[in-house]
Amino acid sequence: MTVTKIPVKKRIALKLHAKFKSNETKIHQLNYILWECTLRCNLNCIHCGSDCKKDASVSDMPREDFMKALENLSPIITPNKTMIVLTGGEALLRKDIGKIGQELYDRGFPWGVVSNGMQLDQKMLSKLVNAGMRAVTLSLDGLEESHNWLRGNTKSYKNVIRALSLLANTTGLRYDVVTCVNQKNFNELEALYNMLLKLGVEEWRIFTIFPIGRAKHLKSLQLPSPEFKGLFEFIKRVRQEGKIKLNYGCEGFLGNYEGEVRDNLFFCRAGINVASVLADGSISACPNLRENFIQGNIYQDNIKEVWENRYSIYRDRSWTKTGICADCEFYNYCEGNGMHLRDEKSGELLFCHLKRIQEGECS
Amino acid sequence: MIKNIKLWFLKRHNSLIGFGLSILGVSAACSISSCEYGAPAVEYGVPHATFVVKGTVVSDQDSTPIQSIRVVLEHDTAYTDPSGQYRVEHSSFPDSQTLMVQFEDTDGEINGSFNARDTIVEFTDPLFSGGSGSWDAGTTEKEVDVELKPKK
Repeated sequence: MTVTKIPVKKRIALKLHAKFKSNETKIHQLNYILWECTLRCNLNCIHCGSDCKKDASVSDMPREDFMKALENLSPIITPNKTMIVLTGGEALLRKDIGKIGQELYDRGFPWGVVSNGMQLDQKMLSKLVNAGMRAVTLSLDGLEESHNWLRGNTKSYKNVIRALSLLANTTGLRYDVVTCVNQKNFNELEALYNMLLKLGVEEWRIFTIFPIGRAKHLKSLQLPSPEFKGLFEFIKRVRQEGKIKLNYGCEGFLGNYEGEVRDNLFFCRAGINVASVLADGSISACPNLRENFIQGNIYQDNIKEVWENRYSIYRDRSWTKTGICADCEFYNYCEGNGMHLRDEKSGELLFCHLKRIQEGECS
Repeated sequence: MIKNIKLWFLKRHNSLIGFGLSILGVSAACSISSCEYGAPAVEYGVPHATFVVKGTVVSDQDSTPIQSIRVVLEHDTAYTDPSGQYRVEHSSFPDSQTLMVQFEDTDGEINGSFNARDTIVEFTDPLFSGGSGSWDAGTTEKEVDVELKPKK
């Protein structure tokens, strides 16, 4: 497969999809809110995209403040159509996690958690399920050695496997595994795939590590071009086998791999459908969009008005048509790649998937 | 009022685009499940209902039922039986839904080789039966018969 040779049929689909995205942008119905409910974390991941800290020096936002923000949003959202995702740091470190969940449940919000699995034992899981939790995302970044290496903790792997086993035996709960592929775990993907099948995992998402957060300074975490291309061949094959629902994450436009490695064509929904409230009250789109991407603060602004009247950098992305994007023939399908891949200060593109795959084809 | 009409128009337009994409064999971009932080669809614990899609898969050449076609609706997967019949279901909020059903021949030459096809199934203001009277609104069904083209 040549990544830039897109068949006519797929080009028509991409053109239609570009119109779909334009309409969605105009509608900008908020239906996915992430809350960075703590910056505390019990791991020390090499690639962390957050500003999280191991200690508790940054205090957690009181849950009442987040609930107040949701109340402010009530005229423009329908609770049972708006997903709340608790993230961090490590969300399960909050002592009031059960109360948070219960309050969301009582308000009719579906809610879920992104976790590293360290705290997710049977007791914690029962507490969360009883509080109405219905979605979990767990991180598993390879076999034992490489997972623990990336996570900076020798017990991390065992804990996440324990959590996955518990989740597999919990009915009515949707969960998936997220893997950040890097140089160390690339050759383990096949073994990881078979292990996930054995564990009864039905959904798997793969990301590649992008140069933000701590990973910005560790280029060795990123796959060399041939492996980068090889990753998409792997995803494509696994999807064809149909044993597990594997998707590449929402990271970037993938040329001819669009429609092959994800359920959907590329669409960065940050600021279109997705908002986040960060630990300090900042209002953003995804939690890894900080600095200039921040649109307000729940302690100073009404989040409803922020959603309705700001977010222009997310809803008019013409400003991204600079640098290598300026004369890219695929710009209309891509619109400057995922927002998290633009430098938070300069707006410059940090990573182009298409270009990296092309390099892989040439090498 | 004008804003609502505009929104209605944009939403209908996107439904049509979704339909067009399905004809092209590309999944409509109706969900945000590939987003980085967790799956958005949450089935229980909030008002929910079961959306059932069932029907028969046949060859578009001679209407012969096709066995072992994989049928995927969100997180439910089924295979057609010897008479080409299938049944898949999805749990979601009890209101109008636009769902994508994927049909794929995964057994190679056995039972013939057919092209894959995606179909949009629209549940508009559905009526539910068998609900619990609480948050489970019950079940609604749609019958969708599908013809697949043999591979050349």
